[in-house]
Amino acid sequence: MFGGSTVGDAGNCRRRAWDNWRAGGGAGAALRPSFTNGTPFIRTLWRLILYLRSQKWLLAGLLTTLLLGSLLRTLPPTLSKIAIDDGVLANDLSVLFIAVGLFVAAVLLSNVAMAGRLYAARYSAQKVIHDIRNDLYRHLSAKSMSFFDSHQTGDLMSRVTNDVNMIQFFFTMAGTVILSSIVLTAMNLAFMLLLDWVLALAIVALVPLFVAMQSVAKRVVPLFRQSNQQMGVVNVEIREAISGIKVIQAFGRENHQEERFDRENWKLRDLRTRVLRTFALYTQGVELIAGAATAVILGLGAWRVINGDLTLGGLVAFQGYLLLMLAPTRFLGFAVQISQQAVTSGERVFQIIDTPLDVHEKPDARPLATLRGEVEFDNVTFQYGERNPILRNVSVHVPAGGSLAIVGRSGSGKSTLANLLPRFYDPTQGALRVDGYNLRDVRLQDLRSRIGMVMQETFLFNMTVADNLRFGRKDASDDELEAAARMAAAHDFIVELPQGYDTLIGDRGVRLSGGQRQRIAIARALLVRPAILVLDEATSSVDTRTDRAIQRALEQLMQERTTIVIAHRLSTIRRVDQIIVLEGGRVVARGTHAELLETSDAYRVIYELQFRLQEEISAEIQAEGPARD
Amino acid sequence: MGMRNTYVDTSNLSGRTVTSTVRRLTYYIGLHRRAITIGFLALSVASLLNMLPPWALKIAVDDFIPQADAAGAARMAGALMLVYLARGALNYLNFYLFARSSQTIVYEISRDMFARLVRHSMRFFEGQRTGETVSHLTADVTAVQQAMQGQVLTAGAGIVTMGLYLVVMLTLDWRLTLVILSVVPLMMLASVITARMLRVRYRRVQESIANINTAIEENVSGVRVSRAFAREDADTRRFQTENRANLQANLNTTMVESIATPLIEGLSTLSVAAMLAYGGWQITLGEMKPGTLIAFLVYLQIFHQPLTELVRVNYVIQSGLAAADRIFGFMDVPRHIVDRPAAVDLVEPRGKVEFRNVNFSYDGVTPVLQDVTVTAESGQTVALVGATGSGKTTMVSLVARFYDPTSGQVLFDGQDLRDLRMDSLRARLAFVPQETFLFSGTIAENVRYGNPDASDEAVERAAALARADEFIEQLDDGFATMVGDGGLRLSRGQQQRVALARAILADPTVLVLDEATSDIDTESEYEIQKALVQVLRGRTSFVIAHRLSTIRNADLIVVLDDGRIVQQGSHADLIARPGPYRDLHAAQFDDPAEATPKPA
Repeated sequence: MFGGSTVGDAGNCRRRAWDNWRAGGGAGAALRPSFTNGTPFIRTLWRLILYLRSQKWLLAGLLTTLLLGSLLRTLPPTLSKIAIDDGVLANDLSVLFIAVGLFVAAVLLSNVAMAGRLYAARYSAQKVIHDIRNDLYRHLSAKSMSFFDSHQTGDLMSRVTNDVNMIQFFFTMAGTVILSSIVLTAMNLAFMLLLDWVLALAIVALVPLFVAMQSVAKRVVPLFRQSNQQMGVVNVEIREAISGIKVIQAFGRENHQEERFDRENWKLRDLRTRVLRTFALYTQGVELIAGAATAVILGLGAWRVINGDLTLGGLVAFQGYLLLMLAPTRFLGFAVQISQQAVTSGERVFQIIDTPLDVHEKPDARPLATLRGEVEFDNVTFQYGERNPILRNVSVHVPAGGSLAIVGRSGSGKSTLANLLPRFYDPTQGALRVDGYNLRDVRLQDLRSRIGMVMQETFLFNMTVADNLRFGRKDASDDELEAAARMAAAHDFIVELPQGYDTLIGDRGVRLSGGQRQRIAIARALLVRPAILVLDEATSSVDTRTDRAIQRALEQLMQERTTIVIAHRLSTIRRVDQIIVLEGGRVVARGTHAELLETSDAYRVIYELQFRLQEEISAEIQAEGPARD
Repeated sequence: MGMRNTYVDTSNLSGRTVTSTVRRLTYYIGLHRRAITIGFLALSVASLLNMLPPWALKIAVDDFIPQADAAGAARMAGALMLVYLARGALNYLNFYLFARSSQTIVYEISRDMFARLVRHSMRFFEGQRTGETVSHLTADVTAVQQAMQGQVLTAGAGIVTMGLYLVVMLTLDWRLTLVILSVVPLMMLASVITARMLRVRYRRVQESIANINTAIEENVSGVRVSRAFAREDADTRRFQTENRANLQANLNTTMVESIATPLIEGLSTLSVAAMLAYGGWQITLGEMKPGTLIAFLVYLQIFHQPLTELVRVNYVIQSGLAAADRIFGFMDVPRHIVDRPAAVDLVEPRGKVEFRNVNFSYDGVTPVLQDVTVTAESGQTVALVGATGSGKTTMVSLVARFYDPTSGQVLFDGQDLRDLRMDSLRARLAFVPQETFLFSGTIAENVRYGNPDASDEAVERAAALARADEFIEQLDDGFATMVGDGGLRLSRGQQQRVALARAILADPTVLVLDEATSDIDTESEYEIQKALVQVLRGRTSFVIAHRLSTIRNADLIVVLDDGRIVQQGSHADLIARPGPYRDLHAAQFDDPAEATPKPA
């Protein structure tokens, strides 16, 4: 008790970290083990600890301040013993004041050491987290599309946020608690044994009780995890009620939604209460053991003093050592639990880092200064893992500036073919060449920056319209921006948005219609002035007038560069130089629209299904007459 | 409280209207007064028991040891053990009661908030600023949750405990008490200053963490775009900047924290030294017994504890209060659309829908619909045609009574919608909105949304009509596949098919399809169109579509331009004469002259 307070270092900061952890969502959400497991515990722990490698000096400082601070902390109980025995009881005021003076000096110095230690510990912890995040991100950005296809966004996000949080908590709190528990227990126990070994052993006899309490601590951490997951569930319910409000109200299901929420909300309340109750059980249990120790010191200690085996000041000092020892140890149970969880989290994070890259750039990859735009698919076969091939022996040649339309029923492999060009995936067999270079031999960055992609499922970022447009080319001027938007027939609606090009779109901003999103995506692709344009046509989300405007723009664009279109529109397939028809991943026919109508049954089937209706209407209009059904 | 603008100003953490929020919280606390009163009593008794051990120490030192009464000391130790047991039990009881009550309060607040949320009209959700508020609701609920982790009550109780301690200490020795109190203002000052410094820094840490998560989330969900535009390097640099900023924010916080704790603790130790010096001097003068001093050294610890605790939870409590304030502000926003007291149930609906001179404006300034008059007879299909922004979606939103017309009437079977009970109206209505939304749950649950009691066969039939059966059967878990948040991500076309199946299964009198098949490939759409003919039979339906094939078969085509009806009639009527419909129709193809002849 004379060595400073029990609520300072061990209590205050650590408990705040504890609260932060609880707030931060704690451990990972739903675990979906889609990675292979089985890294040994120790190896993962060691790998985490190795992240500290880069901060040797900080670590040395940490250990020095920890040892120094702990040593200084053990002085005050001894000094108060001297103050009482040799000062007060011996009626010697000068000894009393000298002891108190030293006491103050020791405390101040130990507090300076403590500040240094705290800073070093947290600095290195934060640095480690920073490094882990960077590593993680670097690896995520290098992964190919098949990685993202096979892992759910939610799972990845949970690893990147919750698991990293858990690791952070290990380094900032649990690690320090464990370390200082060891040091302080060793030191204080030594002093207690020196002071009065009988009393010290009586205290040590209480340790099994303390160990027994760890079974309670063990229950708390999983409960925390559960309640944090449940918090996530409740948040999803709220978010869904907001995004799905139209559906809820249109179907008159407000009460149902409320019941749903109520169930999850009550479950959360229940879990939280259980967490807090178990937590209370643990803390009160530990307090009781501490109380038992105090009672032992009082009963047994008084007897030792009466028998002359211990001085009165020694008794007081003993109590001081006990409190010092207990301060970090109170949280030891949790710290151990958290460390275990952190290692599990570490494993989940390392799994991402360790997944081998299937699309990677060769070290001696060739830079592509310019690209003419010649594209060649040479006997390309593609399959995911062991599944049936999606593309089989596809060979197509598109000369620079030429155009190619891919048609086929859904699932025939059209999009996969288009996705091979920017190397989202590498073909399983065969080769893809641009300007005669195999894609595997060229610089990825160079290749991708010369391909403009417009995907059917338009993804826009939660940024302003202008930022979205500049996504592929940050330095585009305002004039270029506008020109691209005009070409994609997007300018007119953009200027009508509340803040024009500076309007924020997405979750927190203006919601755009499918057609508007697509036009922005086209403008975004145009702005990079691609040598090759890959266009997965929208099925039909644009109204006719706009559609015609886009078609006109694309027609012009096709003349200037190589274009590969997954065609859904008759107007497109009539304009391209060549059409390939895919069926079950094979090219079953090729030629122009007119040729294919003559020669290919497969084409005629698709034409009947997909385009004839458009043709009929077109003919109708041509005849300037009403429909005669 | 009314419609204050506090709920709009989400950035304000300081909580301008703390008193009214506290009053509001008091209401909820009042609901649990019994548990909370018992908790307080338990806490008070436990606090008093807490005063006994140091006293026991004093008696041992002053009486038993000088009198060499080892048995007395042992008895005292035994009694002390009983005190500790009782204290533990009481503390556990009060902690549990506080935890349970505060968790239930949070539950109740969230419940009331949610009930309000699902009943607000669409007009409320459309406002951009409210959108911001609403998006913060989850964060606010979490913040209240944290603040109420039993801490508000514990901190409140801490003040009471300190009062008790003070009384006991003053009775024991008022001079030593004054020595202790002399340091308290300094400690308070240091605590308040560091708390204030930390508050700003914590917020910066939170913000930078949010930035990091956004950066990652966008990279993960926008991965195709990011790769296609070769943005890996740029994105990585951006991420590293954010990550660096987070590190910096953390280090700034760490700096303050690392100094604050030793500083406050150091101050508390100063009072220990002051007491030791003063008390020791008094003892040598014979003015004080050694036991008193020793007891006080222990009292000091437990006296400072609630104080440091209070400062510690101050930040959490403040942001909790601010969050509660926003939630209450949200709950107080008046609802735009409510049932009239005299509203009646819709009985035996036939499905005739009329627009009578309807005018509508979202903001009260810009007209979106002007003088719209249309009649959809029971069972008819009405197609709405017009450019983006011409008011088509607004028109169908009025049918569902997402909004009320500014003037004019929308009638269902001749009754003004405002005279009908909303749930009875909406129970007869199914809506496939432009932005498809699926709830997290299984596909079957989503299809059953409007008709929870439907049989499995009915679900499968509806899915088949919406051409959703094929892809669903290919999924590993079929209809039991989890979708939505955390589940499988369906493509937009697949989502639309599920939404369509949901509407079909609801078996509505009036069906609204707002571009319901826009993201579905032509081939499937064609099949869906064929199936829809069967579905639409016998129901009134409003269809918005760009594809003319859908429109042609409608009984009535309404052409909108800038919120006005410029033409209405059947396809045959409209195509026969020059006008906007024919122009729109012609625009579907660039140049009819180029059309190739039909294949043989």
